[in-house]
Amino acid sequence: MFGRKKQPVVDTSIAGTTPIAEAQARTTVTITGQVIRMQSRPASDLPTMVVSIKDATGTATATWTGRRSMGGIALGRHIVITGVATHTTGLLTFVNPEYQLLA
Amino acid sequence: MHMIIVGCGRVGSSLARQLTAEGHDVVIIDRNASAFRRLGDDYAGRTLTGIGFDRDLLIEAGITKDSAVMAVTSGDNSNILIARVAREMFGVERVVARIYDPRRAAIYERVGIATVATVAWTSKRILRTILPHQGVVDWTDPSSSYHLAERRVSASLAGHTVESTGSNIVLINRNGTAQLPTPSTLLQDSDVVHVLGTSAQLEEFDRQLAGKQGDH
Amino acid sequence: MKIIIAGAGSVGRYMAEELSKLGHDIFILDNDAKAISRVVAGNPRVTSILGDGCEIDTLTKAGAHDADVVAAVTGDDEDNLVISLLAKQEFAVPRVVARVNYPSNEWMFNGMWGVDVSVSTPHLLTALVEEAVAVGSLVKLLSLEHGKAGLNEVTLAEGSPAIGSTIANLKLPRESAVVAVIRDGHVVVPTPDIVLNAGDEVLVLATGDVEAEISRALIGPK
Repeated sequence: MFGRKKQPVVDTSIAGTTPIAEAQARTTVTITGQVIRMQSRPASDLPTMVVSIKDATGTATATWTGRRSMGGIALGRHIVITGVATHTTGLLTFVNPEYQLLA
Repeated sequence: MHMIIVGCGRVGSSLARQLTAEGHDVVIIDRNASAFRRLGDDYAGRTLTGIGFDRDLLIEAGITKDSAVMAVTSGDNSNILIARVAREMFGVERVVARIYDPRRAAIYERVGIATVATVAWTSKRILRTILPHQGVVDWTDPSSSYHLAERRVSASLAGHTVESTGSNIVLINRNGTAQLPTPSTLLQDSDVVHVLGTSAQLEEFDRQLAGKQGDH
Repeated sequence: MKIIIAGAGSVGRYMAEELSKLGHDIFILDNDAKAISRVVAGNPRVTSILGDGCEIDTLTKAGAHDADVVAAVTGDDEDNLVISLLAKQEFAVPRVVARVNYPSNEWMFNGMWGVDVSVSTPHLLTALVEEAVAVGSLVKLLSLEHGKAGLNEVTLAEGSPAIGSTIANLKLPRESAVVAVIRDGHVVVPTPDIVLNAGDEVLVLATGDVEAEISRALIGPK
């Protein structure tokens, strides 16, 4: 499958992670960080979850379309995000990425 | 339960018949009225002709957030549209879409839609997604003590560790990739887990899935 | 710019021709061999690909990972929505444009499916007809910037509070600007001292939900 890393058959491996400041847009990257902000935008017909993730080098945004909440994603939780991001808003932004919850 | 099935092909018609026989309130939708012939004369549910992702038609079908919606037309794209409209527009939680292409299925799983890709025993798998607490099991060991069951993680268990469930979760399928869990692995929304246990242990897991804590 | 056009019907093929003339590199795809065969060969800027735009493989072959724009312009709304979602989600394409075939589906063509700009021909035609015939009402001509900005048009009817006023004195909301006045077939540059007459067609660009205020300023209280 284009760009999709096959996850190793081991629990919560964060091998292959890139610091947010170095992560390239338009190619599959894996970042890991802490959830510092969660915004649910249930504005009428366009429910969207926007989550900000911070690591030692910067902040990234993950947006999930069509959701008002994501089970298990909570402030302070560590999370691994894998996906293809844009840089258009100045911030690394993922749309509907794969995620893994860490402690 | 109020069930809306979109697509009156082989799978849809078989689901409609099975579910009405079980006493559910079923509405089946298809673009072509001629498809309803597959239902047979003794079909006791409702039929509606039209496009399954049309909001007005779904309202006419009586959709509420407590309905169950099964998108089983012959088109992957129609099915994903129907599923998202049901979930995002109407807040339906019990939604499943049949997606033939397993790679696209993995992508739609990330949008949060439960998908079923296997063609064989599809009705059974669809029902398992819609009616997860009916105690369906995949395998029972020869001594009849242990069962292996497949379940979909719900919001009530998302974020919990495998260990905290008290159940023996042997495999997690997350977005199409299989993982061997450890006790500290955190369960996530939409994970498909394979649980090994006795009937009592599986019942307890099903209770947790339904949001009711047992004592363990 | 690198542009992927999904759908090689008459709309897609026209777009490929026109955009390539402007110097862009075009990748046009369609699942139908006959449609692809109608794409005029010999244009070095246009590459045609036989494949389903709803498949990751096809989008990959078309180079979606570094495309600047994906235009989903097939004759099927479902396909256009799925192509848009894949383009946004899997390839982070900066701009996704989608064609709406049936106006009753238009409500889905937004960020939920990765669509930045949707174009509905019936809708556009209606707006343009309205613009041509409606005097004294506000016509929304075009949405820009992911729907955040709109180009509105009002032809000033007799009795409009704007008649006799300079542009500077119009009670237009802060988030709007008069971008042109069309008078007797000529474009008048909207300097602040221009006085408006009945029959002037005033084009206002606005961000935010300010149509009601624009109406009040150019049409009158309702």
